[in-house]
Amino acid sequence: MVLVPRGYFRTEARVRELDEARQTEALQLKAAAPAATGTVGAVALDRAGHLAAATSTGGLTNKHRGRVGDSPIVGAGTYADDASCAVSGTGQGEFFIRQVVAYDVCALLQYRHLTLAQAVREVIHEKLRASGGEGGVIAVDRSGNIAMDFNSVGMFRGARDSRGRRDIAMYRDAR
Amino acid sequence: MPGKPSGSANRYAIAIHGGAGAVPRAMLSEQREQRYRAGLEAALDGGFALLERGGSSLDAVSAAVRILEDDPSFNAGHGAALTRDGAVELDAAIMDGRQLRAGAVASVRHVRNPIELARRVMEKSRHVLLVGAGAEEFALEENFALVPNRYFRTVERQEQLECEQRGQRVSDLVPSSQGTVGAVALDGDGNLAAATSTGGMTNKRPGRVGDSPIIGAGTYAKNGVCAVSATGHGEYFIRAVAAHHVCAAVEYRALSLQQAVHETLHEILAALGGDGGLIAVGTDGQIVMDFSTEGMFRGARDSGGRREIAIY
Repeated sequence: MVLVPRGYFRTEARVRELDEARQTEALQLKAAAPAATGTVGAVALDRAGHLAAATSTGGLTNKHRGRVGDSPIVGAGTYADDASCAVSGTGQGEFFIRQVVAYDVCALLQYRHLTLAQAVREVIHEKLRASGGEGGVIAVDRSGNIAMDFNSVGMFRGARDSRGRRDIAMYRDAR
Repeated sequence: MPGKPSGSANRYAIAIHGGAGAVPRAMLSEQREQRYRAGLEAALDGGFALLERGGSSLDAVSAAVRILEDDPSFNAGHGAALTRDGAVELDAAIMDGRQLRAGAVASVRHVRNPIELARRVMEKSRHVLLVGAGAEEFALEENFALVPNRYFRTVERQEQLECEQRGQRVSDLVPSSQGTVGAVALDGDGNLAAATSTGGMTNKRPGRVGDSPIIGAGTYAKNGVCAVSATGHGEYFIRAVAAHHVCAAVEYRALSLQQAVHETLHEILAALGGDGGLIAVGTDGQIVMDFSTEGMFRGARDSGGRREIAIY
């Protein structure tokens, strides 16, 4: 693997964010401030019927050194099982870890026989919200149904499938 | 089960493990078996004593795991397995079933009792998982006394690493990849807790993290459902989200705790090719301890008078 210097990942905007965060102690408490999120992820169903999920993040701005969120935790921020669905999460990672969010969506689908939309809704709008956690997930099931739901103000997202669906949205109104 | 005692709401129980994959019985010397048993008894009774005095399940699992971390016979804390480069890197997690609070640390090299740092992460930081140097920085901020990595290393683990690197099997020692420790408990207030601590696999690549500090994989607790701690081939337990799978099977499918643990080990993990063991306690105080390896160092004790230590 080719390694790159640390400076490669830094952008002026992120450095400014860090400076601001350092100045404003209050920001530390607002883990879900828009500046602090922005994790990326993808889920897909291929022609052979296999599901896959991937998530990548820089974590929270001004995070404690060594802090790991849900993105690299299999079951929390990322999960895929051909028997149920593929899920990628974004939001306040600590809550996603504690609720095992990605895996819980799959478990509700497989064991409680909820639809993908219902499973995602229950996890994001009921369980996660009840615990005080903010964020969203994208998910695709074995039939190619896509669910993208969030309890935050918005979630940058896109969906495309073999039936011609293709959309990009940021806020709740744009389906 | 015989008739429930009238005060069954106040039932309490604790179970512990010192790793699955016990050496074949014929290869375990009597002297070493006594050491393992004594270590398990100390941890079991230490945790139980707290429950008896009305302590929380969280305190009980912390205390039990701390005792096992300090005991060089087990693969956690002092006497943990060595990495490929001869160092010790420790992982631990704790979970409070009350509000699904959790704390974990991974790849720490200087914290004497990683379970205590995991608990501090849960109670004093806004995070769940801290790793490596950042976790140790947090330990310093919280005034933990750090110890040199040498503190954890023992002659036996050094020999084990050398044998493993030469491709030889080691007799009379816990198999290299195992020996993780853990505890689950139900207290008199009905609160569940789980804790797990490990040095990981002998000869592991530096930076490798197994299932122990992964909430949902090696450790999970949810009030009203169950508390689970795992030991075994961590990569498989992560992929199966083993500890949470047990809870989901109980909660969503109304399987008994025993069925849920059995399915997770002998169907799901077996199908993936991973072996190991699980201990779990249910909301009614029922304890389940099961494994797919030759043995699992384990102990169980409850307010109904049960007290047992077993290996095979």
